[in-house]
Parts: sequence; C-alpha cells; structure tokens
Amino acid sequence: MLMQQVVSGLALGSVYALVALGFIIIYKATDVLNFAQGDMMMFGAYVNYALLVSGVLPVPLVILATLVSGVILGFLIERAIVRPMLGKPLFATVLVTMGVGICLRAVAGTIWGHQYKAVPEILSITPINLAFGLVISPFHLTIIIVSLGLVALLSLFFNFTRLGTAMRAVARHQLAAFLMGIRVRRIFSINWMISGLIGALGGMLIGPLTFLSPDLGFIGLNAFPAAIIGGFGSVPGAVVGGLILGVSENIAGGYLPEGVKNVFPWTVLIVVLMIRPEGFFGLYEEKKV
Amino acid sequence: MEAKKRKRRQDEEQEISKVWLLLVFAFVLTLPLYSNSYVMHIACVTGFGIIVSLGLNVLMGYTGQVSLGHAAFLAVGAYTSAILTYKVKMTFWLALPLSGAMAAFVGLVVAIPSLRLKELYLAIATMGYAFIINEVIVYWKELTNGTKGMIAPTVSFLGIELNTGHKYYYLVYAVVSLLTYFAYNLSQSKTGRAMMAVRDSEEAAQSVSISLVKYKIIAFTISAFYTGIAGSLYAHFIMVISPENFNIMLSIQYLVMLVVGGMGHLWGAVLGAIFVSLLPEGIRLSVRYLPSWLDIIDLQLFMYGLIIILFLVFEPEGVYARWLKVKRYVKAFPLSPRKQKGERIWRRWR
Repeated sequence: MLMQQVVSGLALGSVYALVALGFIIIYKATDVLNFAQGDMMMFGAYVNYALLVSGVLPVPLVILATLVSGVILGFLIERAIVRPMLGKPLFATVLVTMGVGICLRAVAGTIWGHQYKAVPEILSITPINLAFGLVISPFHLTIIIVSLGLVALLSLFFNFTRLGTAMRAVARHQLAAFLMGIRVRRIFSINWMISGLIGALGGMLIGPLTFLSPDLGFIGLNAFPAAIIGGFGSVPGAVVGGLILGVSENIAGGYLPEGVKNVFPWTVLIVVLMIRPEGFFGLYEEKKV
Repeated sequence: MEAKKRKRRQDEEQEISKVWLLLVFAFVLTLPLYSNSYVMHIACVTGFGIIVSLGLNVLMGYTGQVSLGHAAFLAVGAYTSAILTYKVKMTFWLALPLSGAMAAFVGLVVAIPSLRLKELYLAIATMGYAFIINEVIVYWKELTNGTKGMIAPTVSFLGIELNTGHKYYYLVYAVVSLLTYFAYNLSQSKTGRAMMAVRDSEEAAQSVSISLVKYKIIAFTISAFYTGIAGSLYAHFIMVISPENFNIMLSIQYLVMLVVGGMGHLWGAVLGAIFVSLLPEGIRLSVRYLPSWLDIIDLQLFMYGLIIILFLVFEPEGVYARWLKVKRYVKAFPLSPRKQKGERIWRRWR
C-alpha cells in the first residue's frame, strides 16, 4: 500500500517537477517568476488535444507539433510582452505574467469552450504489474521516464554546450555576461522558449490524467511549493522538490483525513519557509545597504 | 518656511482639494436618488472593492509587503459575520466589528511566520495561506456548512430592513467613508510614515530604530481588518456565501485594483477599485456590438488580462500617478514640471 502510494506519487511529482522546471529556467536567468507557466501547460494540452482529435497528423508528428507550438508560444510571450518590461520593476513583470496567464485562459476558452474534454489515449492507462506486486500504468511510467530524461538532457545542455554555459553565465551575473559579449536578450528569449517547450510537454503528459478545461493551469500553482522547496534556482532541486511533494501529497491523501491532500503542498511550503526562508537548495544572499 | 513648503507639497500629493471632496461627497450621497437597483448593486460591489483596496494599500503600498491571499481574509470576515448573526443570533452591528477583528487576528497569525519572507516568497506563502484557509472552510462543516454555503441574514437599522441595494448602499458608503478617513490619517501619522520607511529600505528603517517586526505586523493586521469588514458587508449583501466565492482570482483582482489605481496613494487605491469593479459592467454593455462567437465570460477574462498587461507596460504607477503627472504638467505649463518622487513605491521590488 505504502509503496504503491509512492509509485503513483512519483508520477504526479514528475508533472509538478516539469512545471517547476519551467518556472526555474525563466527565474534563474531573468529573475521573473512566470505565473503563466501553468497556463502555458494548459495551452499545450489543448493543442495536443486538438491535433489528436483532428487526426490529420500521425502521433509522432502530433507530439513534435505540440512541442513546437510551446516553443512558439514562449517566444511570442517573451517578445511581445515581457521584453518591453525589461528594466521595469520586477514585481510589475511578475504581475504581467499573471495577465498573460489570464489572457491565455480566455483564448483557450474561446477556441475550445468550457466543457470538460477527455484527451484520446496514446498510451494505455490501465495498470500493469511490476515486480513486488506494485502496479503502474505504462502512461504513468512514461511520465516518470520522460521527466527524468528531460532533466538529464537539460543538465547536459546547461553544463556541456556553449549556449548552456552562456545561459548559466547570464543567470550568475547579467552585466558581466553582457560585457563578455553574450547576447543577454537572446538568452532571455531562449529561456522562454525552453520554458514553453517544457510547458507543452507537461501539458501533453498531464492531459490524459485529468480532463481538459481552461482552468487546468491552476494545477501549475501547486508547482510553486515544489520550486520553492527546491530552492528556486536549481534544476535538480526542482525535480527533488517535485518528487518529494508528489509522493508526500499522495501519502497524505492515503493516510490523513480528506481535504488535507489538497493543501498538503502548501502546508509543506509554509513549514519549509519558516525553517529556511530561501528554500532548502537555495543560497542565502546577504544584502548590503 | 521650508517646513511649510514641504507641507504644501505633501498636501498636493495626498489631498484632493476640499471642493473636490465636497463634490464627491455630494455625488455619493445623491446617487441613489437617480439610479435604479442595477446601478445600486454595482455601487455596493464597488464599495466592497474600495475597502479591500484601501486595506491592501496599507500593506502593499505603504509597507511594501505583497499579499496574494486577501480573498481569504475576506472569507474569514464574511464567515465570521454569517456565523455570528445566523447561528449565534448576534446583532449585525456587533458582528461587523467582530468579523473585522477576527480577520485581523487571522492576519496576525499569518503575519508572524511571514516576517522573514520577502517579495515573491511572501507572495507565494500568502497564496498558500489562502488555499489553506479556504480548505478549512470547506471541511469544517459543523461551523461553516462546507460547500453548501452559509446564510447571512439581512441587516436592520432602527427597525428598517436594509434589504434593497438602495438602503444597503448608505451603510456600505458610510463604512467606506469612515475607513477612507482612517486610512488617510494613518498615512499622515507616525505609524504610516514608519511603514513607508520600511517599504523604502528595511535596512535604513532599522538603522533609525524602526522595528520591522512591529510595523509589518501592524500593517498585516490593519490590512486584514479592512478586508474582514468588507467581507462582513459582502456576506450580508449577497446573503448566501460559499467557499468558491473567495478563490485566488479574487486575490489577484484586489492586487490589480491597487496596481491599476496607483500603489501607495490613497486616492489611487480608491480609483483602482472603482475602475476594476466597473470594468466587467462596461464589457457587458459593449458586448452586443461585438461578433456573437465571443463568449462574454471569456471576453471579460481576456479584457481583464489585457488591462493588466497594458497598464503595467505603459503606466506601472497607475491611474492616479498619471493624473498627478498631467496636473503638474498643466500647472507648470510653458515650463516643464519639477521632477517628483513617485518611482519610490516600486523601487523595493527591483
């Protein structure tokens, strides 16, 4: 029973981790907290749904097209709305992303309506037996594998490519990076594109788990605790945070009274912030007057 | 001489002239005479918005602490009032201040663990508190009736039932005027100035022995008190309250009121609340001239998001700051106006 909760918690946690990753990649480089990340995920889920239902493309192309749509969405948001905010107060930019999220929700509502929609299954969600009497569906397994694979890919990208190094440099010190000839604005743009990609991926993965509605993006809010526990700025931290949260939320749902499950991530968040205001993996920055 | 000049400048910032104040007062007093119940309904809802916006202004505009959880304080106020009047059969006139006090107490409880948090962490933590409070309301069924909702009976004043928008309007705006006056006095008092010092620089404020803990807690408490009062009035206005009335979008809406109006300015908070409350009605009126495939709810949502974006991109200091700029420009007309403070509100979040 307990192990079973852990296994299915890992799948949920992977989705949280994906959204948290989306937050963090933008936050690290630009210091902007993207409140629209959940809505970008929702949009990806709808694009995926629309393409699957229309049936014009084979499944692998549908996946590819969804990912590309996520990249384009991230690019457009950065170019049209976030870039004019460069140099303006940070909190204003954060509020702007809230506005973007609201607009995305409205657009999705206009195009696809407010009825709940079920995404056609690409992979079966009927459980199969694993070893030791544990059961998990191929779909949940895919979620876990894809998320962990993505994280591995991302850390390879950040550590071993020229662009990734440049991105880390921008995250470390914008001005210094700029003076070294890194095109900071282009890096920002790429950050948003990667976040869009992760959002679309998250949308594809979460779609079959729930029903689609324009309010799906609110699930993204649950990833805030994951990101904060992970320290808001470290990629492995986000994954660890997401997985811890997914597993503990599922266990709380199994053993504690009803209602606790929904607020469990937030309770964990507040306890963590009371002990360490900068999160577990975060660095404490001394402020000078 | 210098002090006098400074006083005058401050007056120009904070006060609108007595004539204007009188005109606004006359308008508020006579509005019910020539308007129907639809207008009265909107006016009451706007009144609740003004109260919350003023309260949030104390916290965000004066003290520089973000809150994404004010819907929860509203819920606490509304439920306290409904429980006291419906279950305990207390009179509304006692329940109103008590629900403010209850919300203030919850604000205090929220404030203490939040003292070390800053900016985005604080925003997310307050959002977390709001989720938790909402969930408590849903599952504490014996007290709150859960998702079925609570009944808040009508208010009576000297035997007159305040059961229509016209009658309730006077109650709402009496409270609005009182709380606006209080907020104005607060902004001119030692406490208010200390709060602003905390906002501008925590380190500098500490160095002149302003206690961060004390003033942050005071700000949270006052802000929650305002919101609780608004919650009580709101509950007895819509009669039936349920937990989904107080979701995260409502918290965001209050934030938007403040930002659109002009954070840190008393009149900015009021203007922002009026603007944001009238916005959906404006869209509802204009929707008949638009193509029919547009869903009104989506359109409202979209316009709402768009307004947030446009305001922040073009005028992050809000309507009131723009008005001040225009006023100064006109006053100094052939010359260019003197540079003014104003950026200061936002500087903390850089």
